[in-house]
Amino acid sequence: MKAITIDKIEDGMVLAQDVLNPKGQILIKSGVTLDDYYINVLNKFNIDVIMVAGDRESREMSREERAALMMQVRPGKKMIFQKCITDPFIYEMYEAVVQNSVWEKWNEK
Amino acid sequence: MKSKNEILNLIQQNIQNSSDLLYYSSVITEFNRAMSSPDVQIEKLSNIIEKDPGLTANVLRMANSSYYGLSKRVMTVKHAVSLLGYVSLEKIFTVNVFSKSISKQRTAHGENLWKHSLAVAIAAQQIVSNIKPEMSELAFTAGLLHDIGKFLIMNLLPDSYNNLLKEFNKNPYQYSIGLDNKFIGIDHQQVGELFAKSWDLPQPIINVIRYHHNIDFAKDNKDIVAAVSVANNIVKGMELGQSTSMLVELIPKWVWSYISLNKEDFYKIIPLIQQKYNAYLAFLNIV
Repeated sequence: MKAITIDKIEDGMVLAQDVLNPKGQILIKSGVTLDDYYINVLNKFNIDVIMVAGDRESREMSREERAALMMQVRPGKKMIFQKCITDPFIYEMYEAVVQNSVWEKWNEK
Repeated sequence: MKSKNEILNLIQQNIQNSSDLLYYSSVITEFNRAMSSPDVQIEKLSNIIEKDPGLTANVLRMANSSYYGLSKRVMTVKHAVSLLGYVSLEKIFTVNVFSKSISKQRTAHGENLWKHSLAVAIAAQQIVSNIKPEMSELAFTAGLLHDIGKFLIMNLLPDSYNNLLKEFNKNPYQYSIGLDNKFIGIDHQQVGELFAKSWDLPQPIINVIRYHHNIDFAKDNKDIVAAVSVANNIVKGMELGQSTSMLVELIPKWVWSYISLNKEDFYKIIPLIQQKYNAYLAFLNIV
């Protein structure tokens, strides 16, 4: 999620936080894809900054890079999950946590 | 080491002395009440915020931060409230008041434990919003407060707590309840419960504080206790902040269907928690 001024809105950007009027009523619900119609609404209500979704999936990660990061992440996570990794649910939690950490490391670069 | 009774007495005495903690919890209660009334009014919220000069300064600083990138300066609380939006305002408010009231001594560990609590709040809210959206704000607060007992022990029994930390640093892969019993003589859930009761916090939050490591013993509010417990384990797995144990605990089998969590859901929920956590930290760094 990041804040942008409305002149920086680009095609396909997704609103990440509800836009409210001063009474707290929702003008635009989060999750919509921003287009000219919504930009008009924002202009009409003098709203200059909005939150849009970040671009987690925008850069490609090669198979090799992914594998290398996995190797880096797994041992530490295995220690944390050592007591119950055989539980099917916890195992899935572990896998999802590893994937997420790989993304985080990738995004740090 | 003090006996369990001595510790309980010490805590009981300090409940009376913790007027600042009581003050903050009353501000939170008032704010939550104003927020949950059907027509929330900017005027009302602004008045509550303006009662506290520190909070007023923080809200203005946040609204004027580069995060919002405004060219004009926000001068009034009213303007800040309308700008920040109610939902984010409530969270920022709770987090602000919470961090202010608990971290008298700023240590690296205190900060990590605080980040851990924040992450659990975010995760619990995410989980509960799928089953009972009307309870998701409560889940956030419950997550934020689940380890309140540790903060209290940190303040009231600093020597014992430091010994516990030394042991944790030697081997972080031990269960926290075991460390509590060994080094404090009482576990953080019991200490937290005592405080929560004396503050008159809502019953679901008391149950979360008391049973987040023993879900099977919770008689009521099992949904929210289970959600916070699962959140606690997810956050430990993700290593967001740090508590006094790095171990993920086994979760009773009934819990997953009880909170309608499928195995595939982890792949959706975990990145969302990460994003929200990053956004919060970016936000709070400003304050």
